[in-house]
Amino acid sequence: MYRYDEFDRTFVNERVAEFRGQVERRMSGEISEEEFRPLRLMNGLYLQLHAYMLRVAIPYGTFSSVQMRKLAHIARTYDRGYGHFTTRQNIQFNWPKLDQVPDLLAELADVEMHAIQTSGNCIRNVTADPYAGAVVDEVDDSRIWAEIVRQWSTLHPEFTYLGRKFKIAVSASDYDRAVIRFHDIGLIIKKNDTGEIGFQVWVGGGLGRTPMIGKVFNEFVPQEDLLSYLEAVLRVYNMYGRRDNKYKARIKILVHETGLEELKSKIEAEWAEIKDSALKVPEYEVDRIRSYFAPPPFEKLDAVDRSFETKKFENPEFARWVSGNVVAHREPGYRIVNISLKPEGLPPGDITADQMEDLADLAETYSFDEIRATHEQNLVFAHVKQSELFELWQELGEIGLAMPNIGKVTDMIACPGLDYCALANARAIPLAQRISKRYADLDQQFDLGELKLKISGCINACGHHHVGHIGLLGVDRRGEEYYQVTLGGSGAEDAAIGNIIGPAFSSDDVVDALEDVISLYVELRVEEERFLDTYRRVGAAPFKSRLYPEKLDAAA
Amino acid sequence: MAQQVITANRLNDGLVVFLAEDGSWVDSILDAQMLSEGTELDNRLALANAAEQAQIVVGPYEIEVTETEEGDLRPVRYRERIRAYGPSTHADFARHDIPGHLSHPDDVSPVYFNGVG
Repeated sequence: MYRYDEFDRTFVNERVAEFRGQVERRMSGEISEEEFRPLRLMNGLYLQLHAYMLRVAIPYGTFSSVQMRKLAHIARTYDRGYGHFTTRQNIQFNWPKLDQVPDLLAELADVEMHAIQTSGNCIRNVTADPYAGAVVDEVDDSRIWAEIVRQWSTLHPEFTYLGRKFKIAVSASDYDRAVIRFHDIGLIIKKNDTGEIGFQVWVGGGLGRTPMIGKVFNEFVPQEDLLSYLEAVLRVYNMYGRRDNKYKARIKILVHETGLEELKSKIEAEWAEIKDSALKVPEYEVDRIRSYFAPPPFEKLDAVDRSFETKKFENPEFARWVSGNVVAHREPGYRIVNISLKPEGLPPGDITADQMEDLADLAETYSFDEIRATHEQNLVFAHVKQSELFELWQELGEIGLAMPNIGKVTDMIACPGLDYCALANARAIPLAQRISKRYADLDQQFDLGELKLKISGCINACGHHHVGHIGLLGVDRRGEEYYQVTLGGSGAEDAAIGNIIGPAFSSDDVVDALEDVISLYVELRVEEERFLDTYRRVGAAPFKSRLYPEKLDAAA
Repeated sequence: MAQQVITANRLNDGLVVFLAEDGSWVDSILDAQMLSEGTELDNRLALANAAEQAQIVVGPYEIEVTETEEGDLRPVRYRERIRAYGPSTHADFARHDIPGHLSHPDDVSPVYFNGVG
């Protein structure tokens, strides 16, 4: 894992001291809320519906047991005993007190963590593939490059006051586990014919009220030119991106309004100017960063462990968890374990301080002291011995975290919604809880197979509803909560924006409507088709007829 | 005429508060001062804005309320009901001191997330 150097340590400590001064000045009235707001946002602190909310950065979602224990301590000392993992591999605390936040940040700094650039119009915390360094299909460890991007983008003076927020994600596989195509910049690590590493660069993706799939601006940026290329994109965006309208200020709008070719030529021209500058990434620096992400000391193990096979045979529940949550590892005898934060009926992404501490212990015992957060609001132990999966599963079960529902209908993304968020129009978490209970039967979930259900409480789309195979969007209809249904979206390599299927459903009716959609899929599916495959094959019409039969009657 | 109360978030902890008759800020809507639109509301909003200048609260504004049969104040909009009653999803953080604190417009029974209750 990456460890802070002197520069990192110094700037984080200085930032804590600076924010302490800003909070003191706010409390004493020296600065107004209007003046304070951008300062607190730069430190990840929001004022939400019920209280302040602090978003803590977990760069590329990788953290240690020591850091997890500190998060547990913070949840207990400064909050109400829990935290909430987000869709950008961060964690949020929903109840910190303003005057205690500087102490909280000082404690985070003790374990090399902070909340800088988790909010505001800057380059946000960089995300990456949660299976990095473990999965079979990757070209390189995406965390190495995410860390290089983090160092370049942290406190970058030119990009501290952008027109709008800017999100970068890094992946290294044909399988997209980082929603690459819906980021302002998405990087996919590739190898060329001569074995050199470079980046396929996607620009202008995003969700929100104007969802867009990013476009490939460069098929292969050589590794030494990565930062100059990123700088060129950011500089062109900073120069030409709109500032007259908050809703048109993201780079996706600039791409859309300017057109790929024209914008690309502007970026290429800027890039030519700065390519051979200090932004060149030196090989020795890549090697230095790479050394932080060196593989843990794996044991030489057999590919198949007989006791594991026996346990699976003897224990169908364990076998189900393995088939649902465990993924192949590139090292023989090891596996990647997904830990679902979607237990039946509980708020997606929430975790108690006790669970955090227990998971910290388990990560130490079973996964080289390392934890990953995923954009789907779950956690990952990346390096678990196949022979220890049974013990891990049992221990996870004891703390309520052995739900085998990864990728299934109840593994929902849900934004905080109107239960917490000042921007929301409707609640998202209670709807997720109702759906979780409706589909509690695991046999049914496994029969339905992969089904990505995503719920947002407003059009800002923090719950990624546009890219759900089924998306639910909360809207306010004359003071009542209603939910619009979108079908056919995907945030993965088969990226698509879902289609709105028809008028919104009331809160009372929406779970039944969802069940209608899913039942129709079961009737129509062929062989092993996923929901998304069936929808793409048959189109929206049968789903419309099922959901809105009265319209069919009217047309007849 | 619709009745109003004035609400805000308290500066130091961000919690939801309401303006009471004696000019203090209270954390229960049951103790809020009910106001009629017009001069009365305007005068109290001026007082609330002064409280913002004095670093007591952030972003005061008025919300519409009704009185229940038991005489309790109840926000009209569900957004404001969630603010007044606490999150509908974690029973641990709901305002159990306020009648109707879990009467949200669906059949969800909030969960005790932290294993209490």
